[in-house]
Amino acid sequence: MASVSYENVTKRFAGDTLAVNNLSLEVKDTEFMVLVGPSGCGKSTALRMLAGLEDITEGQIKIGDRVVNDMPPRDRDIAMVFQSYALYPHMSVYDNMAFGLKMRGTPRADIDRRVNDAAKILELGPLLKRKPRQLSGGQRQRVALGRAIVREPQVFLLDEPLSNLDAKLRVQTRIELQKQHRALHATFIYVTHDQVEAMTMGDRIAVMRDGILQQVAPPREIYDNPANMYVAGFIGSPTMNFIPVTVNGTTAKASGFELELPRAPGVEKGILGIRPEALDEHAREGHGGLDLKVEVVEVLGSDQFLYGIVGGDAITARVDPALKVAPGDRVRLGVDMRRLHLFDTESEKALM
Amino acid sequence: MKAGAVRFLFLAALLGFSLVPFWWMLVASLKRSDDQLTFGNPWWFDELYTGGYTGLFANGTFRDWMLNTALVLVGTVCISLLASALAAYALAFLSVPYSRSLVLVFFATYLVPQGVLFIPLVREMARLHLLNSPLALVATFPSLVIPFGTWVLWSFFRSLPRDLLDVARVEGASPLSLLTWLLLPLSGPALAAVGLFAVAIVFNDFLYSFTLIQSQQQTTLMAGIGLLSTDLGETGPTFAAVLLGVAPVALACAFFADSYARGLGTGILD
Ligand SMILES: Nc1ncnc2c1ncn2[C@@H]1O[C@H](COP(=O)(O)OP(=O)(O)O)[C@@H](O)[C@H]1O
Ligand SMILES: [Mg+2]
Repeated sequence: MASVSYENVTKRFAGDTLAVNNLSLEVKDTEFMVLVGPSGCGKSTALRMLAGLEDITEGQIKIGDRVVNDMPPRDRDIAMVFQSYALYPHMSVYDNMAFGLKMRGTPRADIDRRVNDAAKILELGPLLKRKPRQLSGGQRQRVALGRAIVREPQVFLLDEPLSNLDAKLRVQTRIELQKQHRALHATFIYVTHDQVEAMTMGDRIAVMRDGILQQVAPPREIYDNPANMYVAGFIGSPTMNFIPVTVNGTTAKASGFELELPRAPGVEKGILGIRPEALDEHAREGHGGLDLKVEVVEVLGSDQFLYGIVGGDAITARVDPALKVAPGDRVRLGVDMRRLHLFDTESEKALM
Repeated sequence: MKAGAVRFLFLAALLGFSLVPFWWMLVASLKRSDDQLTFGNPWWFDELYTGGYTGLFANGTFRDWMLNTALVLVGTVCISLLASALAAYALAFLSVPYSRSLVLVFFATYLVPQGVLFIPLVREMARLHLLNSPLALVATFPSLVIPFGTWVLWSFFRSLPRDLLDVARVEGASPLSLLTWLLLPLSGPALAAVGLFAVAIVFNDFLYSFTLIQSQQQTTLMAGIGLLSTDLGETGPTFAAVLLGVAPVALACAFFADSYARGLGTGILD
């Protein structure tokens, strides 16, 4: 079994694109690590360097305690699943899954047993003779996963493996993948741009932006204590409200309301961060509440989101779906004072 | 419906037009030599005379020409495909400096007039003791096919999804197994295009066969027909030989035209 570590890893492409900038990250043995960030932030590049598909410009990558910088992909004992699935179009499902084992000279009987085992787990048995083009998207995804599983690698690398599935199948497969992770006792590194996938699947989440790692922590921790405004805004949906405030001692004053902060942050101005789910229709101690002028109402059954204006700031709130609200109404909102965030205006780092 | 009919008529006319020469050759090859020079119906024969063909096949020299041509063809196609595939693989996937420009440089060699290459080539073949042997052609023709073949396969390889090769590399494929298990099986149309180009080079050639091989015995069908055609007394066998020389290319073109177009398509789009 194997841990993975990136030590000050940098990747510069020709043309001076800095795709990954001084990345240091420890992935523990058998951990499910999710790399998350918007498209183009360097997630795939980070993964491809680990797989040996891109050279490392600076720094080193270790699998277990071996430095793998100059090791060819085939010797790294990893398997990779791509968003495009990358199934060999001219081979049957069986041959697709057997390919890696065949390349490594595994005895035929072993190959047969391992492919059939994986096919059983993934319910691919009846499809083994088909060609990839005769499969649905979900089936192709399972073959791609099966091809990785039969190899019994130490580390699984998954690059947005669910992005081409429809919403319902994506949720099912998400759960299936988590089961597989537990059953296989292997290290998983999973890349996605979807913060819901990150939150639901990761033991820990690494948030990236423009090639720079922003924060690594378990999902709960990332959600409750984001290290900066970027992470706070990226994780959670709808996104956190950011309200510029001036601070006087413990009093934070926004354009349309005032709050007493739990402690003095020691700055004169800042950006207040309040998640929509920390804003609701219940009045609270410690502040006079926010007077929201509602512009848009979204009812999702289990939730109701109100989008509107307080003073000069756009605010989103999550309220009881039973509450009857129409655009144009004014709603008095209370803030859950335990869930306030304050960010530095310049550095955007969390102050509280 | 109406558009369909117009289309059909147009294509039928084109087909007829392109089949006319073949028909004329067939008719001519089935006439007695004497009849060729007399006036008559050039599109039909009065009697079916197969003497032209039997005469040809009874002739040991003609059989040698056929065998030589087959040898040159097989040798050229095999060497060209192998060398082009290996070169294209290296240029597409190994870190060869300036690989893009190199492909263009290879391609630009077609701009060198063949006359310039001629004398050095003859001297080289003499030094290799290959003059007067069909092996001289097996050594020469691939040099005309490989630049084109490399370019076609190079652009075809590069048009394949990158993930496919990446996943195979992670799975443990060596460069050679990548080529044999993945690239070549997926490159059918491009390989067909290069193969067809090689067939055309072999069958269109007169110059090289005529000059590199002086011995009648050792030459190819194409150069041999050139020798035959100078003897106007023997028109029947000449036409029979021409038809037999043209038929393989025509058939290959008819069956592989589709792949040829697809194989080249990726190259042009690149
Ligand atoms: N082969 C390459 N050559 C040049 N630039 C590249 C290459 N691959 C990726 N990039 C650039 O590196 C950055 C990170 O890309 P990538 O790792 O694919 O991002 P992500 O997977 O997070 O969407 C992007 O700006 C992208 O344009
Ligand atoms: Mg990516």
